[in-house]
This record gives sequence, C-alpha cells and structure tokens, in this order.
Amino acid sequence: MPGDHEITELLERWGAGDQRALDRLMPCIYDELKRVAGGYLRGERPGHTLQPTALVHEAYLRMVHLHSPKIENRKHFLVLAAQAMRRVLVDHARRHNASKRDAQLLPPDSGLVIQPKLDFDVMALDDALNRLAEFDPEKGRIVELRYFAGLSVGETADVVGRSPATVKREWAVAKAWLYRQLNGEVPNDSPSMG
Amino acid sequence: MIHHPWGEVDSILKFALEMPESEQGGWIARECQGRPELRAEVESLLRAHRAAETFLEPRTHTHEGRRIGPYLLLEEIGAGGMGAVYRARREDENFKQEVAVKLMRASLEIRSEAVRRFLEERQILAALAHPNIARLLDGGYTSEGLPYIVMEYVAGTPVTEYCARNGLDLKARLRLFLQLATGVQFAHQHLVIHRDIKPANVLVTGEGTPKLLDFGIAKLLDPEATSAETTLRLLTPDYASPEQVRGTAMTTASDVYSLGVLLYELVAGRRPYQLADTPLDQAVETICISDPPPPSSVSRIVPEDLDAIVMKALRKEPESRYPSVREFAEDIDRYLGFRPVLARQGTYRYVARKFVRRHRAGVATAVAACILLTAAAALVIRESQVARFERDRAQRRFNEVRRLAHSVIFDLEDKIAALPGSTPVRKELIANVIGYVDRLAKEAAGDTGLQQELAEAYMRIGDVQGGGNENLGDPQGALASFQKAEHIARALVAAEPSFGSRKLLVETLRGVGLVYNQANDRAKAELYRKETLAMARDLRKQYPGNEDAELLLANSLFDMSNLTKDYESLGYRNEALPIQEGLLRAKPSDPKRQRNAALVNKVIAGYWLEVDPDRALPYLQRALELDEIRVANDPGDQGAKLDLSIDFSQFGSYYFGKHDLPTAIGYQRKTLAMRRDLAALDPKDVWKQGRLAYALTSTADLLIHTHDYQAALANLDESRRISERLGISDRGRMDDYARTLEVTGEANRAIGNKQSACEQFSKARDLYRKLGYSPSNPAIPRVAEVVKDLATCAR
Repeated sequence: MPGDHEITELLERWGAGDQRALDRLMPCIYDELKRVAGGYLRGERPGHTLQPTALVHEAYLRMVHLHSPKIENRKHFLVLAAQAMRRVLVDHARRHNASKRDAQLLPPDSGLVIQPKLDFDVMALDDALNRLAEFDPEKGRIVELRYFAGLSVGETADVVGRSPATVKREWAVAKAWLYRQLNGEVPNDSPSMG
Repeated sequence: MIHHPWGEVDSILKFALEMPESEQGGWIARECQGRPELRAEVESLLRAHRAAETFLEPRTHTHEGRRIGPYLLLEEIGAGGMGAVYRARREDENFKQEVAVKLMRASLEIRSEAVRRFLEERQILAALAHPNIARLLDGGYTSEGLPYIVMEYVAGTPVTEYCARNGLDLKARLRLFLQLATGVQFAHQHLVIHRDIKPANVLVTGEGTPKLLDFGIAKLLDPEATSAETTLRLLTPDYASPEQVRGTAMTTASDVYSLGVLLYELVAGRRPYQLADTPLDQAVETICISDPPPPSSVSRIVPEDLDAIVMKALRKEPESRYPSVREFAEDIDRYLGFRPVLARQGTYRYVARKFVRRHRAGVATAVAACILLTAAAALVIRESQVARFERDRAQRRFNEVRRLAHSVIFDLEDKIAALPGSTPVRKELIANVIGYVDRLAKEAAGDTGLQQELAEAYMRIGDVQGGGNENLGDPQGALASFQKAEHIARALVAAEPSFGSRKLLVETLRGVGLVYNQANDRAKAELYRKETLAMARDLRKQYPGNEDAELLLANSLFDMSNLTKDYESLGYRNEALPIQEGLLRAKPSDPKRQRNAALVNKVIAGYWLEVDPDRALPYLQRALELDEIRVANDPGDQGAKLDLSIDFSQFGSYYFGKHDLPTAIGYQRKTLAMRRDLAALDPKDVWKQGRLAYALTSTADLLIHTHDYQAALANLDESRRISERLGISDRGRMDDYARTLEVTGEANRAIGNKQSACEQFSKARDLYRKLGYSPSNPAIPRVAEVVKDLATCAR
C-alpha cells in the first residue's frame, strides 16, 4: 500500500484531473475500509452497529497525511470513500449470501460471520441506487455521500458544491424513490410515519 | 410503467415538500391538471416520502422511561452528534437524586483496554469537585455496551441567554465569567481540558452560579479520538480554536481560546465570526486566518481594555494567548479594579492614564501617602534582617545535606552506573538518597532555589529508578519520584513562570509521561506528553535560539512520536531531526549531542525500514557514522556500544528487506555478539538483559527464514528464559516477550509442532491485547498477523 504521503499526493493529482491516480487510489481506499469495517462485519465488535461515518473518518485519518490539512483532499477522499464503502458493504453481503448457500460445506466455526444489522438488503439498495443514478446521477451521488460516507447535509453540500437546502431536497426525493423501489408501492391509506 | 419526464416529477415533488402537508395535495392536483399519470407518480412518491422518514437515516430512538442501573431516564433534554442527554432520577430505597445521564449513540470500539481507560478517566473527572463544574457522578456501560455518563443535573439557562434575559450589565457579565474561569482553571490544574466550551455547556442556575457541563467528556467517551477526528465531527465550529479545526494538538490554550469566544459573545452580544451556513473549508480558513473585529466595533459599550483582553485570548497562535486561564481571569480582574491590564502592557501613556484613574482620590492625600510609605519601608527592611539571620543558620545545615545529596545523585551515581555489576549498590544508594531528599523537601517551603534543586534531584532519582536507560526496573518508585518533582515544578511555575521554572516543569512532565508509558498506561502517558509538547513549543517560540529550549522541544517531539501511530510519529521525528542536527553542528564533539542526533536518525530509519527500505538507508548510515565516532572516542561507554549494536541490527533489517539474507544475518550476529558482551558485564541490569533477549529473538526470526529452525529455537529458548527471569513489568518487556512468543510459534509451526505453535500464538495475542494493540491498528501489523496465525496454526 502506498504511504500516506503518497495517498495525499494521489488525492491531489486526482483532484487536478489525473485519472491514473484514481486507479491507484480506489483499491487502497477500498482495502483500508474493508479492513476497518472488518471487525464490525465479522461481528467481532459488540452491538454490530455499523457506522459508515465512523469508519470513513477512521480510514481518512489513517490514510491521509495529517500534516497536509488541505480541505480539497478531504473532499476528494470522501467522494471516493463513499463509493468504496458502498462496495465494501455490497461485497460483504454478496459473500455472506454465498456462505449461507454453502452453509453445509463450511466448518462450524465460520458461524462467526454475522450480518451487520441493517434495515434492508444492501444488495437491493445497490441495484436501486444504480438505476436511480442512470437518470439522476446527482441524486445517486448525494445518497452515496449521505448514506455510505455518513456525511451530514451540510458536509454533503460542501462536497457536491450545492447549497444545503438543495441537498436536503434532493435527498428527500431520492429517499422516497429508493424506498418505493425497495419496499414497493406505499398504499394510499398508509398512515404517515411522521 | 408509464414514463414521465423525471425532471417534472422531481421538481413538482420538491416544491410540494416545501409546503405544509395540508397544502401539498391541492398543489399537486393543480400542477398535474389533466395528466393523471404524472399526478399518480408524484403522489406515489409523496406517500413513499412520508413512509421513508427514518429510511437510510442514522438510527435515533429515545430511551425515555428506560432504566439504566439505578437510574430511571425521565426525559430527553438534549441531543447531539454523539448521543442524547436525559434528565433522570436515581432511585434507591432511601436516596432520591435528580441527575443528568448522557447516553452515547453507539460505541466506536469496546475492548477491555478501552473499558479500563474509560473507568480510569472517569475517576479523574469524578474527582473534579468544584462549585462551577457540574460534577461527574457515575458512568458505565449499558447492557448493549453503550457507554453512559451520569452528571450532576443542573437546572439552569445557557449563559448567553441568562445574561440577556436578566439584563446583566457589563460588570455583572464579567463577574459571571470570572466564576466560570475559576472552574476551568481548577480543571486545568488537574490536567483536564474541556475541549468544548460553548454557551450550551455553561448553564447558570437560579442562584446565579455558572456551571460548566461536560468537562473532558469528549475525550472520555472516545479516548482514541485524535483531535482531527473531533474536528471532522464538529457541527458548530464557532467556538473551536485554530489548532482544533486544524486537527493539531489541543492544550489548555485551546480552552483559553474558547473562553475568549464566549467572553466576546458576552460583551459584544454576538460571536466573533458568523459561521452559520458557511461551508466547512471556509469556516476553517476564517478561524485560522482572519482576525475578528474587536468587540468594541460591534458594541460601543465595550472599552478598549476589554477589547485587548478578548483579542489576546483569541490569538491564532496558542502561545500568544494568555498562558493560563488564571492569567486571563486576572487581567479581567485588573480591568474591574481599574489597574493596567497585561493585554495592553508596554504602552507608557496607557499605564500612566490608568494610574491617574486609580488614584482619582486626589493629589490632596499624596503627601500623607508619601510619609506612610517611608515608614512602611523602614519596617520591611528591619523584618527582613531578622528573617535573614535565622535563615542563614538554617541555610548552613541545609547546604551540607544538599551538597551531599547532589554529589551522590549527580556525580557518584553516574560513575557507579558505568561500572559493571553495580546494580545492587545503586539500589541501596538511591534508597538512602530518597530519604535525604524527602527530608530536605519538607523544609524547602519558600526557598525557590532549593525547590528547583530538589525537583532536579527527584527527576534524577526517577531516572535511576525506572525512567532512564540503565535503570533499576522500579517503575512505581520512578513514578513517585517524578510526581514529587512535578509537584514542586508546578508550584514554582505558579509562583513565577520564568524560563527556568517552565523548563523544569517540562522536564518533570516528560519524566512522568515516560514512566506512565513504560507502565503501559497510554492514556496518562498521552495526557502528559501532549502537555509537555505544547509547553516545549511555547518555550522555544518565546526563547528562539536558546539551546535548552531547542533540546527540550526535540525531546518532547521524540516522546510524542513514540506514542502515536506511524505516520504521525514520522512527522514528529522529522521535526526533531533538524533540531538535533543543528545542536550537534553547534558542538560537534559533544557526545550527548552525537547520541541525540544518532537516535533521531535511527528512529526515522526504523519507520522507513518497514515502509520503503531504500529511504531508510541515508538515516541508517548517518546513525552508524555517529555511533562509531562515539564508541571510538570512549570505548568504555556501554550506552554507545548498545546504540551501535542497534545500528547493526537495523542494517540487518535493511538487507532483509532487500532480500539479502546472508548479509542480514551477518549484521544480526554482530548485534548479538555485542549484546552478549554487554549483558555479561552486568547480569543484573534489566535493560541490557532485555536488549540481549531482543537480539536473540531477532536473530531467530532471520534464521527461520533460512529454514535453520533448530538454531532459531535455541535462540528463542534463551530469549524466553531471560524474559521470564526479568518479568514483564513494563510495556517494553511485554512487547518483547510477546514478540518472542510469536516467533517461537512460527518456528514450531514450521517444524510441524502444531500444538505448541497454537499455544504460543494465543499467548502472544493475549499479550498484544493487553498492550492495547488491535488488529485494526495499522501501526502494529503483527497483531493482525498473529490473529491470522492463530486461526491457521492447527492446520
């Protein structure tokens, strides 16, 4: 893995439009997140509450050189980390599903693998998000940042270069669309959850 | 599915969401007139929107009505990024008490080590008993493992609101602020930094007493959080200091800054910066670069003096602010008493004006005052003569003991320590000296010179007991001695913050930090080292070019580097290197400076050896060059020899990294031979024996790679026996022993001795955990490896 100085440098290069830097960055961030997330995904930590925010920040602190407090680097990093976090979760879910299928073939101690508690199927969310991004890429990006990198509305606004009010609106519509995609049509007389 | 232009659906829905629910239906109907499919789609999404309120959002739910331990949570009184606060009631049979319970949303990481630290820190905070600090009462973990904290429940109003509501005038506001400051100062004296001073954390009770909430809580709940992480979580940076938003070390000066912001708001009626809705990067820039307008430009009732005081507290550089909250408060006090404030010190006309104002009573009494003054002066002179006579007598007695103790610990001990086999003699000597010094200390009150000397003596004793390199392996004794020194130094700094007293304090703090680190108490070690580093930076800035200050900073950086994760440690080391090399250039033949420069080169090499061996090479060569000079100049210097043996060992790692095993083993054998010689000279020296054990393990590690398992196991056996004989009393020994077990496990696995391998891996893992290492900590890849080894060793 490249050293942290190098990560910082790669982030800068990518920010300046160098796509080759991205090829080196993505796998690093992915690996790092996977490693940080590992404890949660394997159920080694109590609570099994997966907090993408904490993980992404943890990874950021590990990877980006602290003595270069360039805000731009943090933004670049968060954009990539959101994508990487999404892949980590989806990959994990995929493997987990596979291991459920092969349950009889596995030695008994693989029972350590516990699915993190999420309200829904990450793989389904991933599919839905891909579809959403096809016709409304900005919403896709906002969901990625809000959900997978755990950014607040303000932070997301900062990264995508929109006002917080805009992000809030986009987020609300994206959530509605994704919710319907995952849960089906909400009946007319359904009481408001408000 | 019927296709609608998504843009249209999107914008109609967005508009609808902006209006009250009751109006949404009508508006959608109007917008979609004549287009039923469009309307159906928008309405469908609107229904989904209402159902999706918590969907994809961070989970929040209330714990009202829940019982945690003896506490019944009554109502949520606040929520923040980290969790929620509840008003709660403690209900025992004959004991009812209203408290505030802060419950965290989720724990980041709960390991036994973290729990231990949490409980320990909690104790420190629980001891913060001060009328202006909301007392920490209790704390623990809920059944799901969420940390919670129980605090004194303060029924009060945030300070800014309190002032506005009661129409407090400027003076009343300042008095309130001064009360608050005594609380903060009190905590600082107990080495607790608040880190989050803001109006919401300062409540004023019905009786008008300000109380600070959440002292040190941020740190307590997430002890591993570096300040940068805290910054990333910051939602309102308005009260954060530049160093806080930049993610550099926070000190008491950061609290001074936040208090400055609070004072600004109290006197001017608004905050120095208007940061609401400002993107984070701009906010950071504002806080770090632009000076706020002085309070008087916002509110004309603010006088110049107060402007100066507030602006001094708000300086960008921590070292330009008030050095402590106490001095900050004293300046406000001066302002209230019409005396010149320090913030504006130096302007002659200003001081003169103050003088006139203070002595408004008049020129009429001036003559009388003159006469009184003369009489008083005569009295003082007489009294001091009497005192001097008695002091002289006592002084003679002191001086004899003083000289004796001094010569024993500063001259004799050094010479004896250099003699092989001297450990038992040194132990006895030190025990005697402590007796003398303790007795001297009892009589030292008021004598600054003697106190200074005693503090130095205690430090030296601490070094010999357990702080220094060739120590007697007595960490408890060392801690006690360093703490005695710290106690004296703090008193000296409080009495007069001169260069000498501050330097002394930094040195004592370094000592305490060192011993805590060796005793495996990272939380305390970090606390001390951060304070040390901040003070050392201050000193160097204030006394540029002063060699003592330079050395102190380099040493503090070095200490800090040993505590942090890899990349941070490199930063500290890189900062220390030019300082040490610069000091050496000033005196090229000074053996101590040679050693310091060699050492920094060595540790930087150590970092690069693991990351990129080629980059390690220049540092390795420089360290070797310096250590060879040292050994050549003084062949009897055992420390220099030990250092040289480390250089060889590092060259071994370098060649190992370059896949040149024969050369690597050659260097490693050189190291081993030197260590055997050193250890044989003084079999009771814990440090030298430990270094031998380490070299044995390292050699074994290389031998495994050449498949010479029998030789490896023989070395490991010897290493283990040494470790077991020495005991694993401190961090270093524990780390070495764990590594030896791990390598032994590898050797056993290689020869098919599965059961032993598993046993040793598991013991190693337990020790690593005890040390607080975790598989997810990239600084210690060995832990992850040993866990992996453990999983596969039976196969």
